[in-house]
Amino acid sequence: MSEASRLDATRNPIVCALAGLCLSAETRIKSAPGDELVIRLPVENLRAAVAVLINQLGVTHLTTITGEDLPPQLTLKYHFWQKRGFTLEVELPGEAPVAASIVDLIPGAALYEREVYGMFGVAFEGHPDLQPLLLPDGWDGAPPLRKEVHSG
Amino acid sequence: MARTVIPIGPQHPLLKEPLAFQIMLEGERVTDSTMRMGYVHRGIERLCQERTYVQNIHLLERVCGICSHVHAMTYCHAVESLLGIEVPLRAAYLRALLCELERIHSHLLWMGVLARNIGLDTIFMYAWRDREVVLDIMEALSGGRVSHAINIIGGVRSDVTPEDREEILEQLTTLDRQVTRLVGVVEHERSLQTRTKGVGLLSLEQVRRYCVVGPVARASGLDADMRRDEPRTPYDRLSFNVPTHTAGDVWARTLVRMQETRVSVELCRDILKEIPEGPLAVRAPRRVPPGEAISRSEAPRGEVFYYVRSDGSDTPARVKIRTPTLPSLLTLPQQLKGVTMADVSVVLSGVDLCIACADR
Repeated sequence: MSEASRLDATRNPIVCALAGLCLSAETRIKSAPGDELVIRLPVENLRAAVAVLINQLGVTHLTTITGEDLPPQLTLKYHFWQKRGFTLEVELPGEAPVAASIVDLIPGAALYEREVYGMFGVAFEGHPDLQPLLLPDGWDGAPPLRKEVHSG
Repeated sequence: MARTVIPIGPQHPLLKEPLAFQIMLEGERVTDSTMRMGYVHRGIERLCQERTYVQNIHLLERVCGICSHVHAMTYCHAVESLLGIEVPLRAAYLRALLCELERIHSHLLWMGVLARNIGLDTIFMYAWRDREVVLDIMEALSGGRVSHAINIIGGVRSDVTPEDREEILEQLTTLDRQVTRLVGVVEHERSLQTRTKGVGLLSLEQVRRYCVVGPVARASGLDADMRRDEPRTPYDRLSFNVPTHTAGDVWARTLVRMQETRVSVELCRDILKEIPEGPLAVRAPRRVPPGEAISRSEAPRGEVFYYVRSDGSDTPARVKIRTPTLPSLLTLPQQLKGVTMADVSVVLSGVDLCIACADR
């Protein structure tokens, strides 16, 4: 991370609001209007951070949740949009990953969490109806987007 | 009153693509509903990790059968950001031209489907007749009516000659005349209003809570359009308005889509008038430097989102796609609650679902 992007990130109002909750912030993801901010958090602070975004900054739009298997870890990226895109990133252990559901804070997250549950096996605690979104009934293989799964 | 459960789908004449609903009824009124999707899941995100960046363009154009171009284009935008290359101006204009044609095509197709489901076959015939003009233009531009394959990483691969340009402008005049007439008919059609007003209601509050995008959100008063809010060239050079309504019912969605169709026809003309001369593409290396990129575009149904991560090879490490239908699907139980069984088809059509997109 360059010095410039670090400076740019610390002046951001989102970073200031989440100051006590996040591990680091950097403008890392490339995009058309300029690089987008990524805020890394410990998974236990996720709900608190989302609540701050909603209550203090008026953020409402969660675009989606991207899961990615990077053994031995799993990362979840919560992509938000408010005039500009920005991302909250959490890391989970690859074995039996668990994260707190944010469906009660942002009801629009319901299908995204179900998709990540089906594709990566992340259990979202507190989700009202946690079942795979896209997999067939009775799917008993490993979650298909995990690295241990090899396609034919 | 007796409770009845009516299953709709996964195969049902009302739905153009497979999706399953259980509709719980008390008498004629819907009390609750559940939805099951995934019948056309093709594992596209996984397949992307096993193909090269170039091969993926071909694959991603097949995420959707209506907004095929916008998917390939949004993916190319993300890869171009990773490569740090800027497409030539002429290519950006040609991509935008096809985007707008696709929007007209999609909205006219939707108008036909809604009218057909209500039983207004005349409007269905008019809408689909007018849609033929767009398909002809797209065929002249790219050689394909649905899959256009004009995107390459670094630009586009087909050009508009001066003769093509004149001919397309002429076809656009025809289209403008026909669409204006269709919009006039639709706006004053009493039976369409009776069937759609107050049906499928979504408040601005609900639209925000469920993160809904596109015409469905704009019909409930959410003024959001990625073409204006996160503009890529040439949208930052073009002036256009974003129609919104506040009623939040299927009628408001009809008006928003019809007004957007007219805006898009105008945009196509502006693009063809202002398109600069120049090269069509710049050379792009096969290997992409490590990094992450996000791109967002306004598809006919709303914001399309791509996240691409590269590990430095010629194959992406992760491609994530979020299509605009997904948040709309989440709102269906809310929209269906309290409507009569006869209006279920109006609610389902009103959203403009694209199941193949949502399932990927």
